[in-house]
Parts: sequence; structure tokens; C-alpha cells
Amino acid sequence: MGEMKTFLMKKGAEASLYLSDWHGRKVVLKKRLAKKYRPKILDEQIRIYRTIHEPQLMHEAKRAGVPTPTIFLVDIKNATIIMEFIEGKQVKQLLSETSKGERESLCLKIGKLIGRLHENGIIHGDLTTSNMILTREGKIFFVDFGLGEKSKELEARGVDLHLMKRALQSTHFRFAEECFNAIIRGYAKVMGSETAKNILEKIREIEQRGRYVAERKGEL
Amino acid sequence: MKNKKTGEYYCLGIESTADDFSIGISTFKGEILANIISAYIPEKGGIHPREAARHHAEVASQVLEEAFRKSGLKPRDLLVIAFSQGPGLGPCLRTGATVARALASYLNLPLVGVNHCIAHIEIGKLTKRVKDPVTLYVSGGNTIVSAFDLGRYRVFGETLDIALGNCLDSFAIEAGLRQSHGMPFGAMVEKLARKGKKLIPLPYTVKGMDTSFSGLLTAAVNLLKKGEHKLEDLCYSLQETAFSMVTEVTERALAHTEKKEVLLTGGVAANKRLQSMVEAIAEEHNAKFCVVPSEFAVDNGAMIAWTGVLAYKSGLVTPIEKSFVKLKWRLDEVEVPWVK
Amino acid sequence: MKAKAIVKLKFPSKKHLEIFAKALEPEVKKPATTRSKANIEKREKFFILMVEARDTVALRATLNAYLRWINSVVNVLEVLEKQ
Repeated sequence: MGEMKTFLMKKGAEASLYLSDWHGRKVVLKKRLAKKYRPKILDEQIRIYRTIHEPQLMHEAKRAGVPTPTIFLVDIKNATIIMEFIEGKQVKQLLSETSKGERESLCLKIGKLIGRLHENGIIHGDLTTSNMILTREGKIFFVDFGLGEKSKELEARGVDLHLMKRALQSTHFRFAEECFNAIIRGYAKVMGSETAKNILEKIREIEQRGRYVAERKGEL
Repeated sequence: MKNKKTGEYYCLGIESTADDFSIGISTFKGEILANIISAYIPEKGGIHPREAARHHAEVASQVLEEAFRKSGLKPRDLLVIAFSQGPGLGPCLRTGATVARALASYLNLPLVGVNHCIAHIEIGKLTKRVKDPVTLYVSGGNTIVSAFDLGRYRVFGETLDIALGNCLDSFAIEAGLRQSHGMPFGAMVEKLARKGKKLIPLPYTVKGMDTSFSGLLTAAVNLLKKGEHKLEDLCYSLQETAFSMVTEVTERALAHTEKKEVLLTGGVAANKRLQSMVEAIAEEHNAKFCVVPSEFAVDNGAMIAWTGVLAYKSGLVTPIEKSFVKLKWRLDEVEVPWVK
Repeated sequence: MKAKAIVKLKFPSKKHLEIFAKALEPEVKKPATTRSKANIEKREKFFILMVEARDTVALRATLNAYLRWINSVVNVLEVLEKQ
């Protein structure tokens, strides 16, 4: 890797993203950095697990028809993944810039893509609008599968969409509701309206979940 | 009424969401004149809502008397009565609400219903002179990562099942530990954890910016029952795993919001190990790190009184006939017009 | 509804009656459980609490809750009057 010109693109909480060049290709180098606050063994376990796990899920997502960057190299020892650089715009930025109609069609598409993930037993684990990139061709790429898992459970699906909803509420408060509704409509197109209904029910339950376990026991 | 001698206005706040009954008095400028806390400590095991409520009803008048004595105020000096309207345990909330309504109607004062979680943030901001933090609020009933944006405190992350404090307490109960005044379960686990050396693998669950502790608790309790590990090592591993989880999500919220302050509050905030972890991420993001002093980090009346002041100054009052308690009142449902 | 109890309390003044009614009305309107139902009434100097419940267990629980609330308000008013 010594020859590469590498630029720090983004220093996130979990990983640093570097823009680089790999055999003539524009790539992203995702390096999970050691966290000093947690014990070394735990830190290594977490970083290695996610480094192995993320490319696997990205690969499966791609097979399910959800665009994800192509993986070129996984360097487990250094907790680094080299993947295709996706030219495009973060959905996070787009949502606040575009018109209501555009927003709706974008969210409808996102909903369909989430549906495809779930249909194939893939839970993204961190659905936010900063983890989605719209390309010039109109494809939406999903990134950041580090917290994902394989599951077809209603609970896991519900939590996944609950995260999406909360991400919308905390970053796009003004149109969170309209966006989430469109996402669910798109989701229902893939998963069927019955499943979508159950998911909405589940999300409501998750949101209402009493944090006081004692109370649940106490009010029996 | 405005105090003739001091020219000040005062708000009395009642807190009773869980196992503490507390009354605090704050001036409209944010000087805390009294913060009397009476903790309900069960004979054995965890908190039982009805038993806690009975405790609250029994001590309410003594705590009130003590608050007046400490502050040197008379009932007629007050201008506003505030109470924590939720979220919390039904029987406990109702007891505090009943007392608050009686006070307001006897003294003919406006009543202000306060969101308990917001009060935790506001008292932290007041006592630590913080303006716009990412707050990690960890207690027996709540685990929330929050920051202000567009008129409200937004929830960036929370627990998907039990609260962090509940996880530690439940483990302590399973381990047969007994809490006492000045030595709650959390402090006992912390003390044991300091002697632990071996990190035993336990489930680490982070989903987006949310955490889940029930799987972690179950795994730790199972290992405890097997008896193959030292209790010290289990406490250490439980703490390291659980605290790493909340620290990770706090760091994510910090990176996402790019705020310059981190506030740690709630009963679990007293834990030194958690403090050092959160401090480390604050440092890494060049943010100022603050821990709310214990008296104001646990459930307390002063935070309700102070938030009552803020709400009242923004023109918010709760008509007595509509002052129903709200058991599941989310932090992000509340408009906070006093924050700009 | 199978169990029913009526509690009659005498208060020194109309003002007291009013305070107890105000303190408890929201709890009457939004009860914690469907297993019991409470009602309050002011009749001259008397404060009347009526509780109907599905069974005696629920009746006792609800009665206890209301009596405890009433008791804590009595004590709180005492503190206020003393000051």
C-alpha cells in the first residue's frame, strides 16, 4: 500500500474512511481504529468481527439486488476493508435539498431496497440517510453494514426500521413523517402489506417499550 | 409570590418517578436552595412499584417540611409548583402528582408538569455550565443518548430493552448482594469490578445507535450460576462490556452531531470507570467532558424545580384537571422553547 | 363488578374538600387499571370515595392507593398550615 496517494475522507466514530487508489481504481479504505476506552481484547474482537462480517453482508446484499460497493480486499489484521468508491451524493444531504416529490420517490426506492434486504434475511443494523448514496444513474447504494446481521425475525426487522425512523426524526425532523411513510409504502411493495402492517405494529411496540422492567413485573 | 426581601421568585419541584421521592426548590435564576431526597430501599431484591409508592406517600410531608426548613422559605414565597409527570412507574408518579396538585391548589399556584428525562439534562446544563451537549443519561430506568436540535431534545440512541442501571442492579441481585443507604447496587458492582482482571466474553449488542442489555444480563447471570468464574471477574466483564456499548453509541452521536460538549448524567454516571471511558471519547473529539454531581445526577427534586422554572418562563403550565401522569412520555415528544 | 366500597371522610372546610377533589380527580378520570373504578363526590363537609372492583383483591389495592394519597395530602396540608 506504500505507493498509494491516500487522503482522509471522513473520520467517523467507528472507522476512518480514506480515499485512495488501488491498481488504477478509485477506492475507499475503511479502517476500523483501535478504541482506547475499551479493553484491548474486546476492542480487537469487535473490530475483527465487524471487518469480516461487513463484506459478507455487503456481498449478500448485492446478490439480493441492493447496490453496495464492490469489495476488493479485506485485511483482517489491520481491520481494513478496501472497497469501490461510489461517486454520488449522500441521501442525508439530498433530502433537505430536493422537492417534496423527489423526496417521496427517493424514499419509496429506499423502502423497496430495505424490503429486498429483509426479504433475503439481511438486517442492515444502521439504517441512516448518511449510509445511503445516490449515484448519477439514479441507483441508491447502501454502505456501512458493520452492525448488520442475518435474521428473518420480526423483532430484528422492526428494530432495523425503527432505527431508520429515529434517524429521520433526529436528522430530518421537518419531513421525517412523510419520508418514513414513503419508505414503508416502498417496503410494503416488496414485503407485502400484511408484513408491513406487522412491522409497523412492532415498531410501535418497540417505541413504547417500558424501560422499567420492574413495572412490568409489578403490574401483573 | 415575589419575595419582598430578596426580590426573587421560587419554584418547588416534586420528583417521584421511581424509587426516590424528592422535593427541590430553585430560584428563577437557577440557584438551588433545597434538594431533599428520600430513597426507598427494599428489604430484598429490586424495586416494587407499589411498595415504592407507599414509601413516597409516607415520606412526602416530611420531605416537604425539610425542603422548607433547608431553604428558609415559607409556602407563600413560592410562585410555581412543578412535578415530574413522566416517564416512570405508575404508582410512584401518581403519588407525586397527587401531592403536587394539592400543593398547587392549596397555595393557588400554577402547576407545571415536567418530563423527567429533560429535567436530568437541564440540571446537568445548569450545574456544569454547559450549553449544548450530547448527553448520555444512564440510570435504573433510562439509557438515552440525546442532543438538542430544532426545538427538541432528539433521541439519537436508547436501549431496546432494559436500562443500563437495571442490568447492573439485576445482576447484583442475582449475585446475592444487598444494597444499603450510601451503597447502591451499582456502587457494589463497581467496587467488585475494580478487583476483576479477566475479561470474560459476553454479548456486545449495538444496533445503530441503540443498545440492548437483556442478552448481556442473561449471559452474565448464567455464568454466575455456573460458578466457574470469580464474581469480581464477572462484574468487571459486565461493566467493561456494557460501558463500552454506551460509550460507542455516545461517540457515534458525538461524531454525527459535532457538538462540543459531552454530559454524563443519571445514577450510573457516578461510576468512575464509565466516566473515564466517556471522557476518552470526548477528548478524542475535542469536546468538553462533564459529569453531573451525584446529588443532581440521581433522581432529584431540584432538577424538576429548575425545569419547572424554564417551562414556566416560556409560558408553559399544566392545568390541574389535565395533569395526568404519562408513564411512557418520551423525551423527544416535548417541545423545549427555552432552548435556542 | 363484584366488589364495592364507599368511604366517607369528614373535612374541616369546603376549601379542604376542594383540594382533595382537585388532587384526585385526574386519577379518577384515568385509572391505572381496568380492574377497578373509583369515583369521588363532595357532599357538604363529606368527601365520598366510591370504589368498584372486579374482585376483593383489586378493591383492596385501589382503596389502599386512594387512602394513601388522601393521607399524604392530609399530612402535606398540615405542613403547609404549620408554616
